[in-house]
Amino acid sequence: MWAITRLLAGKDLRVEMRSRVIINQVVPFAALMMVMFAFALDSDTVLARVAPGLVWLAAMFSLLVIVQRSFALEAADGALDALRVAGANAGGIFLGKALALAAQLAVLEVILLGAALVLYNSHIVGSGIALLVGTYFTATAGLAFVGTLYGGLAVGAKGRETLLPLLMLPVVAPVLIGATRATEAALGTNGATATDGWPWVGLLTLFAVVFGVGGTLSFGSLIDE
Amino acid sequence: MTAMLNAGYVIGSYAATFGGIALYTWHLLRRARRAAEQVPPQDRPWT
Amino acid sequence: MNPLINMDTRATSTRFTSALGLATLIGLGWLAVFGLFLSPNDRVQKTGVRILYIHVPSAWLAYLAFVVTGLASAGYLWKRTRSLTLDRIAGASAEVGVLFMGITLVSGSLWGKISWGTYWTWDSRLTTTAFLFVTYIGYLAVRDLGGSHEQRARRSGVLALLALVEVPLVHFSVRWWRPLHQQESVAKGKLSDLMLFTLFVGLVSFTLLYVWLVMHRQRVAALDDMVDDGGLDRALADRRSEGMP
Repeated sequence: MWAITRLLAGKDLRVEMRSRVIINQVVPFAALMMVMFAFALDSDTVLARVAPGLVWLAAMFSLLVIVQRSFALEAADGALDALRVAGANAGGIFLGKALALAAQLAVLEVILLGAALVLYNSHIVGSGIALLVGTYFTATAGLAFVGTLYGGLAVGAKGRETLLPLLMLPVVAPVLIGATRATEAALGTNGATATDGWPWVGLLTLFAVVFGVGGTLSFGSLIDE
Repeated sequence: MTAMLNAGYVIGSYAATFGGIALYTWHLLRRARRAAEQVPPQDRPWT
Repeated sequence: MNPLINMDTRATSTRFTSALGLATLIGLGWLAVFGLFLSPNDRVQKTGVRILYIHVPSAWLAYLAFVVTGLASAGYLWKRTRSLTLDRIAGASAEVGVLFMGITLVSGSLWGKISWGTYWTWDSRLTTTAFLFVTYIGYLAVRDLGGSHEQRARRSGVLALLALVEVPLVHFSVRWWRPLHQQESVAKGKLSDLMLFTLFVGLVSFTLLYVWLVMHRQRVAALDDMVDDGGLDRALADRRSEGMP
């Protein structure tokens, strides 16, 4: 199982290194979203207040795009079926895809957070760094697990591009809420302090564990013909 | 005045509820008839 | 006239469902009469209390429908027999649940307009309900994705179980997010006997309606599946006869 995980994650990341689709298309898309938010909200004080939410909202929309990309690769030549026929462990496939997804998402989130600090004039509170790192890891894991699970569910089906957001966004709503609150605490938005944020990291951890375990166990029944 | 207005909301909610149910029921039974035309009665396990 | 008691088309009807349908119609008629006219106004809620007689039962039945979907899906995945009937019950129940949840949201927001002055508040119960609604719309969309019946059953079965996991997570995160609580809709013990009776009529007739709808929907799904299989058999037969001159 772990061998499959490593192989598949390595493969996905190598594909990205060679094609640079995420770097050349998704990152600019995410940055553009941050600029568009500023146009829509049109007020520095409002922007500073909602910056954490916007970061995670943009991360979620980017996640949709990355998941589509990740599973388009597998669906193209029936690669996923071939893997299963070859006897690859479904849980391993799930974790491998999720790991690659998490790595790509993690890079993207750093850029988004940087954009928020620069464009929206946010600051990290001194004691907030640990909280921010905790939020960053748990939220990314949760998003990657859910993205892989629902991406695998819709793979190869007609109309999957439009179905994925409908399936995925309600599920990741707790991540949006939790990560936003925790990030607010880390940035000191609205007078929140770092201690306010830790319970939310707990929620994010629970979320990641639930969907990580659930995905590993159920991925086989989702992708098998 | 508010009583009248509230009655409107009450009637609206009843209309939406019963209307929604009736519409779905009509749609469901029409589907049932359409599908039943293609399956001979002896193949239906409930008859 | 009324499609509910249309006896000549016995497509998915049996004697039992016809009787059940008739009982449902009588129950719903009673509910409308009692709810709109015979029951008294509430002291606090005034006429607004009347919405509760349809709102509470439809909300309850929607939740029940989703629980049935979860149980039927678990049954499908658990049992070795892989009974497609269980899968069809899960799908039928989800569809009826979405219908009930939809009308619950409409009647609830109208009731909210009367009693709180707004159509919507970000209360945890309301928000969770809205998420349930969207989640099961997605579930129904997944059922329509195509593939074999077994694939549909397995895919939607897993999805239904994931939805059961998702709901508490959404509920608790929203509750933490907005820790204000709406006070109980109607304080306990304040309903008169006639009001309670009307609510009871509502619960009974909506339960009958739910069973009736799910039975019919399940049978329609069975017919559709049979048509699918039959179409495949016919195509194969055509194909074979082509090969033989």
